[in-house]
Amino acid sequence: MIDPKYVELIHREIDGENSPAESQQLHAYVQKNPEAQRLFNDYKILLSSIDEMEEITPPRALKARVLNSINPNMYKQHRTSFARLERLFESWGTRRYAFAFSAGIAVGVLALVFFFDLHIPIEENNSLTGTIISSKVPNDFALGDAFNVNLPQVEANLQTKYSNNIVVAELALHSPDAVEVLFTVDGVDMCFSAFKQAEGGKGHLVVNENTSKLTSIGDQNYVLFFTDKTGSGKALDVKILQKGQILYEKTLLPKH
Amino acid sequence: MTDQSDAILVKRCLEGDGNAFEGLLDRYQKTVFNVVYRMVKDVEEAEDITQATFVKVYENLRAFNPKFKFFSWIYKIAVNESLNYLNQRKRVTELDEDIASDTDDPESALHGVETSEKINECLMKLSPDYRVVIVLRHFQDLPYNEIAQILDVPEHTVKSRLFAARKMLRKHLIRKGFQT
Repeated sequence: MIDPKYVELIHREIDGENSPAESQQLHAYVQKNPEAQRLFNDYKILLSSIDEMEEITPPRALKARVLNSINPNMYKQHRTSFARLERLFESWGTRRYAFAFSAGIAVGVLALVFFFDLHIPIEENNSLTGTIISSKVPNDFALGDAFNVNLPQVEANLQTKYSNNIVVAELALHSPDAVEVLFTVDGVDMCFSAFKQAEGGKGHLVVNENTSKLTSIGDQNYVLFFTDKTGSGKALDVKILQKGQILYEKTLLPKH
Repeated sequence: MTDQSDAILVKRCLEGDGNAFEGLLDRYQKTVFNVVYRMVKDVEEAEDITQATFVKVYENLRAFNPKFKFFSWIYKIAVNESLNYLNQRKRVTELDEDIASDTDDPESALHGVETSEKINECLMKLSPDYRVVIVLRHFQDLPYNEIAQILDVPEHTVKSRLFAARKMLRKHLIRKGFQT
């Protein structure tokens, strides 16, 4: 039988919570009580075994999955569009008027677009999702390999662009039935980074290790981003499949 | 980027700097993944829960109070996501009340607990409330007060749960064959 007071002291000892006097008291007790000694030793063995357990490395695709799941403009839009107005109205203590005012502006802009058919360039379209790329980057891109496929099952146009550490694949697809596009990278120096498609797009991307599988139907436009750690431009293997059958494949490289 | 404090990265993120969140993700993805994995013991489920955790963190960054430690906040979200998942799945082995109230067996002792798999198995036999204190205390080396903050319980509750959890874990390991 172990005195409950000493059971608590054992727990506190292995947590490093005992004072020197309490530690001394405990050690004197366990020397005289074999049952307490066993319990103390068991906990020490258990905790040292846990200490020896290695940390698990998360799957490589986890980071890309997270970045692909968030709206990168969530805070950017707030800052650039409405933050000043909101601060102004907050300072007046009339936040609800801020929403009414903002809604009025939004309705006005929409009316302008509707009635005057304003052209909004796709680069400025905030409805695009999944980007982590800076708006300055496109100016630094060099064109890489491209392909143009015209088959009964699918029409595809793909252009690669290379920057220092970023590889972009811009893909236009037309397919009456679903097709899959596999993007394969080496997974070490180059890995998937982000994915964009226009709002309402039907594309579905699954990233698994070094392969990104895009499923698409109809007329769609996509942009995929890959991170190239070497900055020297790595190969990007692309395959277009339908029902498991390869329709087209090509290895794309930068143009040095 | 790694030299910057969490608070600065959060501030930059709220100012619209997308790279700042990537910095937080790089810093905490392994830790969060490991906490979640120890709770659910399944790599794919841990990946899903870790992803959900970071999305929640990102979407609620404005709610983060910089007076508190960012990692405590992210741990709290990860733990809650894990507990929600476990509650939904109801696949946890119920706490063996006999073990919780058992008296110590003087003939039993742990020897040669060399396989992490055995510890993982026994950890999964604890109810989530007990498992989480073992994970935070012994896998993440967090002190009582931080565990209390993460779990929203008083410090004395953390201690009593931790002591009970160790006792149960020892019993399960002994039942697995770690006996003299």
